[in-house]
Amino acid sequence: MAEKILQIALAGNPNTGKSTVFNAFTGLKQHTGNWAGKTVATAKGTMLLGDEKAELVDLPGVYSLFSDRAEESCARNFLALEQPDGVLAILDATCLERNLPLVLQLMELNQHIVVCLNLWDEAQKKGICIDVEKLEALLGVPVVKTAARSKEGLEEARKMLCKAVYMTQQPIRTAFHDGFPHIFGYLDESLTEFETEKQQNGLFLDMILEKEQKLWEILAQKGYDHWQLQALDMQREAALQLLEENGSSLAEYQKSRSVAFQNRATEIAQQVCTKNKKQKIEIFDRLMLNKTTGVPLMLVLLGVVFWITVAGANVPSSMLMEGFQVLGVSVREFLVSLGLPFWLESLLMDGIFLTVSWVVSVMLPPMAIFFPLFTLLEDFGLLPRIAFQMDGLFQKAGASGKQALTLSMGFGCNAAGVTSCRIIHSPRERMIAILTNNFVPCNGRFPTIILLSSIFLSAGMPWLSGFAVFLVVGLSVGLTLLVSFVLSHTLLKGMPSSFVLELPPYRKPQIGQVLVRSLLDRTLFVLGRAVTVAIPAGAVIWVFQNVPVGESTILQMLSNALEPLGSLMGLSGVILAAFLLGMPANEIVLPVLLMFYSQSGMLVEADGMAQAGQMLAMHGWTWTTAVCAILFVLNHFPCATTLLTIKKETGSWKWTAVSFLLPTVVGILICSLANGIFMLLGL
Amino acid sequence: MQYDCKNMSEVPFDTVCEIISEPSLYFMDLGFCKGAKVRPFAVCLCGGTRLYEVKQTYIALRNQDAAKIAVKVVV
Repeated sequence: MAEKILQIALAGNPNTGKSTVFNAFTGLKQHTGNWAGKTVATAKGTMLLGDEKAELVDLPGVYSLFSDRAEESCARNFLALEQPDGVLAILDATCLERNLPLVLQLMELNQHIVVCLNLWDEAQKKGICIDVEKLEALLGVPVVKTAARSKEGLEEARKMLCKAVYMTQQPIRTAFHDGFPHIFGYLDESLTEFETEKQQNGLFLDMILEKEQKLWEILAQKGYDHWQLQALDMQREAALQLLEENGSSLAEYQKSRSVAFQNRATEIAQQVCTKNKKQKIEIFDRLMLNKTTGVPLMLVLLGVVFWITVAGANVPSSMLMEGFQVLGVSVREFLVSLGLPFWLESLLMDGIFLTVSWVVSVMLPPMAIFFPLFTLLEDFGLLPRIAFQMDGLFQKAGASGKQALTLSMGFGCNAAGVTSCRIIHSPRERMIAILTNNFVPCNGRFPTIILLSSIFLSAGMPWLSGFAVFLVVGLSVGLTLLVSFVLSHTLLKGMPSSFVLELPPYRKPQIGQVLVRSLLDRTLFVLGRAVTVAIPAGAVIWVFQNVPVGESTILQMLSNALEPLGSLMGLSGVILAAFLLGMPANEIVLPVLLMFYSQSGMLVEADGMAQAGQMLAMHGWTWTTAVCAILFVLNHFPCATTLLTIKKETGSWKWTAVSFLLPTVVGILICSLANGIFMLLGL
Repeated sequence: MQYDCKNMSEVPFDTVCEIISEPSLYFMDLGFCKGAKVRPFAVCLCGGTRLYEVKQTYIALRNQDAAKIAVKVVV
């Protein structure tokens, strides 16, 4: 018989540090950052509780258990119906009154609860004093002070949780039924067969009244028969009728319930909390949130990030390429010494090795700079402020302001950006965000944009290529807004939904942790995936380029077929073929192209930018070709990983096909337009 | 100075107001319940969304949602 493992739930409002606590206890690496809503799915890990192992479940942050939104129902059903052995409630100590209603609701569902007053260090800095003993007395459950980012108080929380799981606690519950004694008295008396459920689940009667479907399923699984469940339905109808006869309604009861928890939370907060310092809005926020100064400030910050990425990536890229050249000579000598046939040696070295070396040399430096900088901005708390400022534009486009957050995630990886769209509640607006996420260049495309800008658009001034990249990013955001507008008035018509976004306080990023997290979790992960794709892609490209089919090769046939379209777009059939073959991962598009250009069918041993530039120029590239290429890098079909993610998130091949065609058609149109303008101007 | 405000989206910046209606459940759970003190203090680029301080937290709401919450200015 399998040993039953303890189950502990982590619950709390959004952005209180639940994922930080989860990572500290389990050693896993949940995505953390300073904005509400980043945890979009329930995560599970294993922690030690005393001498036993326990499963820790990180629930998405919720403000209340009673809303009809997906996260709230998910959290409520998990806590009420799966009855974890303990609950760790994480509160933000800097705004106790806001966080307490949820804790009071959690106490209705589970008596084995420990409350963590997290962000204790921030509360102290703000001059907020909380009488912890008094709070414990008013709640009837243990309370511990923690600062999860610096791991303070976590061991004490673990010890208290260990005791709480096995002890019988007496949480002081909220009298939220008091306003409707006749209804709940009636239900309580008539549902005598469900005494066990009523004792375990303080919201059992509420879930009956509100017809929580999951509850009926769980009761059926527990062995209650069809007649008992039918009787439950009848009692529910009778209770609702009783409500109406008394001049009330279910909606009014639900409001009075919320008010009961809010009022008790306010009462408790007033008794235990004192502020010694007047709260002031930080000066930086006055500037960031002002509509006149906020946007220019944001643009400057983003511009600086891109400039550092562009300027900082060139030298390491060249150094890596030189290193791979030296390594390549030794590896080739070794393969020759094994006596391999020429074609196999060529496949391994001129196909696979060179593709991988190019991918690493081109991708790693910009990613290693961009990801940490982006993560610093995220940890600092800038992303929600950017989303706030952009909401006016997204509202006019018929989309959700939270799209600014998902768009930001897309700069790292479009697949991650698509997954993050779960934070958008409206299905229509979520679909718009998913379909348009590919318009922002991910880290697989940034190196190509940076390289082409540096070679063709800098005119000997490095800052100019940084500015070009900045304009490209601006264009991507503009296109996102435009396409969102078109979608919301055509395929995805509908009214804009509510936009609610909590702005977290600024937090000093933990630079060491940011560097480690962004390098290990993000940079190396994305790079690892790119290399994994580059290995078979390099082999395929070599085959396309070298294996004859009649008098031609597969590559020649493909590029000839694409030549008319390529010419229209200011590109060529070879360039379009490179994009098609780069579908597994965007980062291999440029290496593939350079491989095609090499007449021997071997990837050019580019000594960084200079030789790559020469190779491209030899094959007719000018700055106008580079502009059209950059426009198509920005606007073409998503990579295979992103397409699979879209299929998973939407569950629909139709919308996956739309996500493939939409940016591609936009890209073809924009490139053709740009090329037409260049030709008209005689450029 | 007296302000004739009917709903939260019309309250001038840095003016404290008290909610006098009962908004929907979701907004109540966010802290916008009857009797709560609210202070608007920023509007986004292009307008349409404002930032409110309520119960020690800053929450952005679109005007279409804030317009459904009736308030009186606390003078």
